[in-house]
Amino acid sequence: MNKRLFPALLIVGALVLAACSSRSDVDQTAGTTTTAPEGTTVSADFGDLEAPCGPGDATIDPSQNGGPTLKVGTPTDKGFEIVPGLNIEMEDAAKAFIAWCNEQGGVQGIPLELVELDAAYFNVPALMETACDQVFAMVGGGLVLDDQVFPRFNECGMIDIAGFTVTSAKAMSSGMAQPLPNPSNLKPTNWLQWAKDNYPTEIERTAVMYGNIGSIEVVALQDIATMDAIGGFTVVSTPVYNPGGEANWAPFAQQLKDNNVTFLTFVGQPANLASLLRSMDEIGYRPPLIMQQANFYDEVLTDGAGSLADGVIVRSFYTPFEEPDDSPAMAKYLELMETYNPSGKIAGLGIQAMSAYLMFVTASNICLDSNDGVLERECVLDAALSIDTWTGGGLHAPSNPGANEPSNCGLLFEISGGKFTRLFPERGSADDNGGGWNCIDPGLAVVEGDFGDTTSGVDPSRSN
Amino acid sequence: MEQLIAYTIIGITTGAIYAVAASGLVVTYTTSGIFNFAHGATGMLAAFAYWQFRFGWGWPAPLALLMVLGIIAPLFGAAIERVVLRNLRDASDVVKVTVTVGLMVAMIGLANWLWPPASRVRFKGFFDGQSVELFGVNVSWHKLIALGCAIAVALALRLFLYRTRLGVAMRAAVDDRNLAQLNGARPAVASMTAWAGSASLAGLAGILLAAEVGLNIVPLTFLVVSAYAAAIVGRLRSLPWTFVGALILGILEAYTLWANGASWFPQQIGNFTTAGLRSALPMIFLFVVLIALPQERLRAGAIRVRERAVTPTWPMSLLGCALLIGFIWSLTGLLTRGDLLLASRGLVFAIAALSLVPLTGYAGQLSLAPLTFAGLGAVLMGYMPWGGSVVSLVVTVVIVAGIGALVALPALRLQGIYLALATGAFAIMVTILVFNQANVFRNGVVEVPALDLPGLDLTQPNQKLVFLAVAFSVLALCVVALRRSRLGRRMVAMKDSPLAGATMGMNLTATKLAAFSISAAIASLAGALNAGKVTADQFAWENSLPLVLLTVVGGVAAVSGALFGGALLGLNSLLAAAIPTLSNVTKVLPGVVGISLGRNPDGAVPQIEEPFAPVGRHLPSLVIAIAGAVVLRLLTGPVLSNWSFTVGLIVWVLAVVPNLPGILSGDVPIARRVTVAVGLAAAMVLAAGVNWGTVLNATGWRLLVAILIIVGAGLTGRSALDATPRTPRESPDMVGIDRDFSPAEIAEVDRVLGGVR
Repeated sequence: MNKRLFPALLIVGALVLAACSSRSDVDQTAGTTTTAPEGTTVSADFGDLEAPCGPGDATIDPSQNGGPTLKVGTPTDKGFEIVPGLNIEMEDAAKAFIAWCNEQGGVQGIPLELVELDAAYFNVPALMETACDQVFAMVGGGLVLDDQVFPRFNECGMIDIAGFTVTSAKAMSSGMAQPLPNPSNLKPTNWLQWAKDNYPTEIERTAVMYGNIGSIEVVALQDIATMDAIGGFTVVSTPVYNPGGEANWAPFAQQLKDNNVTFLTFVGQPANLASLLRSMDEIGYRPPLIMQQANFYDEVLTDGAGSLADGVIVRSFYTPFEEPDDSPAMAKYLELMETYNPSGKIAGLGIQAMSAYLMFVTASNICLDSNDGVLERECVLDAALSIDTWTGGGLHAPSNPGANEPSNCGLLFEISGGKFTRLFPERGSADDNGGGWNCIDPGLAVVEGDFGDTTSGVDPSRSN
Repeated sequence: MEQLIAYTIIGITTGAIYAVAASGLVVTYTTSGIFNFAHGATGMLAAFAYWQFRFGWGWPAPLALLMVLGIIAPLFGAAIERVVLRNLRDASDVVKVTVTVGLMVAMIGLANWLWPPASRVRFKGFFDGQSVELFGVNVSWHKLIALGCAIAVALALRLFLYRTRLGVAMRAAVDDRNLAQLNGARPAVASMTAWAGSASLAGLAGILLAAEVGLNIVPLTFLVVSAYAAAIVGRLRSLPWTFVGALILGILEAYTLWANGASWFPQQIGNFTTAGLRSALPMIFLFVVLIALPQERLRAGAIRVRERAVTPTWPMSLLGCALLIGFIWSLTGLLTRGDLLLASRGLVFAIAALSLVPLTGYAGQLSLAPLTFAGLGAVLMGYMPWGGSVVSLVVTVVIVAGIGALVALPALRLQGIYLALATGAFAIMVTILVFNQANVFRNGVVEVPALDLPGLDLTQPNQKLVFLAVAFSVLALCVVALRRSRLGRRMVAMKDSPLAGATMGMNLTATKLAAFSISAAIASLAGALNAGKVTADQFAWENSLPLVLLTVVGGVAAVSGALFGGALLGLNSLLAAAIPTLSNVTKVLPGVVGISLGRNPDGAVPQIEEPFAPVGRHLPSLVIAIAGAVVLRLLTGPVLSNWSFTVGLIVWVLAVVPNLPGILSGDVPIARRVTVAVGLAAAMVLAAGVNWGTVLNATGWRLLVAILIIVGAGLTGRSALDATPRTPRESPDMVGIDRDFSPAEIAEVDRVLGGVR
């Protein structure tokens, strides 16, 4: 008996221990997320948005999970066992925003209530059922396997003001608006156009290097299609690495060298580019131009490659974290995190979540004003899709959520001294088209190719 | 020519890293007879520890190295040997492999727990950024050091194992532990020293590798898999050959990339890109080496199987299936749609786990690829031109069964760990070359159509769940029928002694082929019946590891063990979702459970089932047991809340039912029977009477209390009325020596040996 009893008690003991220690954690977070420390007053404006939250006497359609609070769900994959805390910065931003908004009086008097939706990567259909059961809207989140929300998403008439989308099906779906649209067939060109203008000969020997997984490969294909649409690029090499890890990156560096690659763009994870940069340094080769997508605006790159990251150019559509003095909105995001969720993670996707929440509240206000003070899903979505210029108060480059068009504006960082520094446009220069952004016309390329299913998220019976 | 030299030198530096990693594997295998799947994970933990000292706390590199490789890693290795592996001496290969997989899973969980992703920063190599020129090619100091380490390790270990007393003792302990002991060696000390040294080598490889791939758990743990191929070149024994194998592999990888960049290399073959070819190269190499190398002959008397499996009886099997379906059906009214979907995931895992029962449980062949076959089933079902019709299902199953046989063909000559590695290599190849193809899982998703069955809509979570329970039950009964058939007995004979089987004219080849095909067919159903959108990641090879682990933990020779394994894997995510703060515990849990296997190689389920066996043989108890459960279900809604039903059912099944035969007819005094009956009745009233839904208002706490009640009720069920005879655990050989057999013992011996009943 003892032999059997011991492991059983061990497991139960561990469970109880974890539960006990966790209770104090919960108390702590509850203290920081629902109320501000006494004596602090955070102003009601957010960047150039005037007091989105405030008192009032609005109500919610009771058939749409309405009640005394406005329940919103922020989907993340934070419980994914392989990468614990995946995209938790979105939920952290949501907690800070909600605490601040409720302090102002909520959405015209209705307090927001956060429902944590965790798909842990694989459990998207189960997450969608919970969302249908409990929330009025999904706001400010994103899932890796986001096309698995269908068909349930449309069946229960859910709306999603998404922080980001991954698949073509989700990016083109019904019931969705997002602050930074990401349709699969329309891609911004400004970064590659800048390369063409400034490195016209280098781009004649281009390499697009990507990881051997369908979802990464699609991004690489879209980049190549964008280059084709702009013209002048010759892709001479497309090395494929194992995204699970490579024991030695030197053969890839050697391959790029053999092909005389003069412009490299690397699709995948920043940590892997850091490894490649070290191997390129080892064999004594470096293409004159290395240009990266926005997900490389990440300290993992500068930490991982050290001084070797210097000179890498990264495109961005976020107002730089480094420029809170020039941007009231960025200062506000940092202030809200500092005040209401100091242990929360601050990162690019946090900006997208914050912007999505602002968009949701803005759209709710439009809806309430036109709908006799009753909040309804379709009315909020229609209002969100009526917005044709959106910057999240100044958090990011202007986009067109109504037309589901990405921004034709952007900026470029150059890493120097291990820091991301603004390369283009200089603030206040002729290239600065306002807010520190360089915008070009048309700035968007229609890319052709099969980038995955675009129809399974569309429900013709829904108006939007 | 210049390029040839460049790629060769680069390939050699890759090979050096593989060589260090492979040497550790070889040392462990040579000195303990265990192929250590946790080798990579040990290196990963060591790399993290090194980072903590070197960069986290700023120690100088030599001091940090000494601390990690000289103190922490050896202590860790020795502790693992002492606590976990010493119990495995007589266990089968399946159990040995599974325990090391458990260690690996636990270590990954531990690393995620101790070093959450946000805390990880830069990991610098030795003499960071400095390189020297060799034959016109720049090579970093770090890689030269790796090469030097690899050569030094190969030579030093060779000398140590063959020229020193301790080294010879280590090898002797593996060949014949008892003989070594008789000759004055101390196998326990030798074994512990070996594990300590091997952990140090793993640590060295981990630290060397971390400078290249960064401080990332997954690559650090799994890149060592590439080194398996090198270790197999040395047949897990020869260090110099391992070194050569590692170099060949490294150079081959570099050449493949060189070729891949050249214009003549085909980028597409039909619809498939060749891009993944290089990533899959180590596994292709492993597969080829496994098949090409001469194999060990079947050894007589070498297999001492400690595990015993009882032949399932029809009444118990039917009862179990009926209970399962009834329980699942009663769940459909109680759970939310989201939780129903999570629960069906558990049943899908259970069906995949069931595929291991004939193959591993009966035939003794370990497969590390159950989810790979499930994935093939899902993909094929998704691409069938007949949609969700039964024709699609049948064609899918037949094709996957055929693939299973194809995998078995080259594997036919292999046994034990070599076979496990071959199936693992197959799983990785399919993951990289098929599942990761953008043309197969475009954007990562394939839609598996719901099976068209009249009157059923399997897209509804509740219908899907019950359907999966029925499907599992039907398959389980088929597996039971298999076990009781001629083929089943041949499989078990092959597991017990392949040599004896072959001597008696049994066709081992046909038996192995059949086992593989049947297993692949069952696994394919786990994919094909799971209607909805599925992703490539769900079937990635590394996901098979926890499944195999938990199934063996549950008891791989029993159908119920498969249910246990699958349900536990599904429950794990349910538990983590319900109580986020417990997620750290749930990360480590499967690993810890796996490690406990060392003490209990039969698995958990046979022990759980033990107290229920008398119930199956006693008709009145059986009737009352079922009637009680039905009454509880009928009372739910009008009288009882959902949570009260759940708690009541747990107490009923675990505490009351095992005691029913004793209460009704035991040879225990009547007064004691009445006391126990009253006590249990009181417990039932308490369990079902309290409205748990309002008393405990958080789902997490309810689950926690439910677990406490399960354990409490389970212990009560075992001990309340000690009228339930337990299977004697001492060896049957001993009975009859000191006294005559009693008729009951003769019946028991018959039952244990699977004879007449």
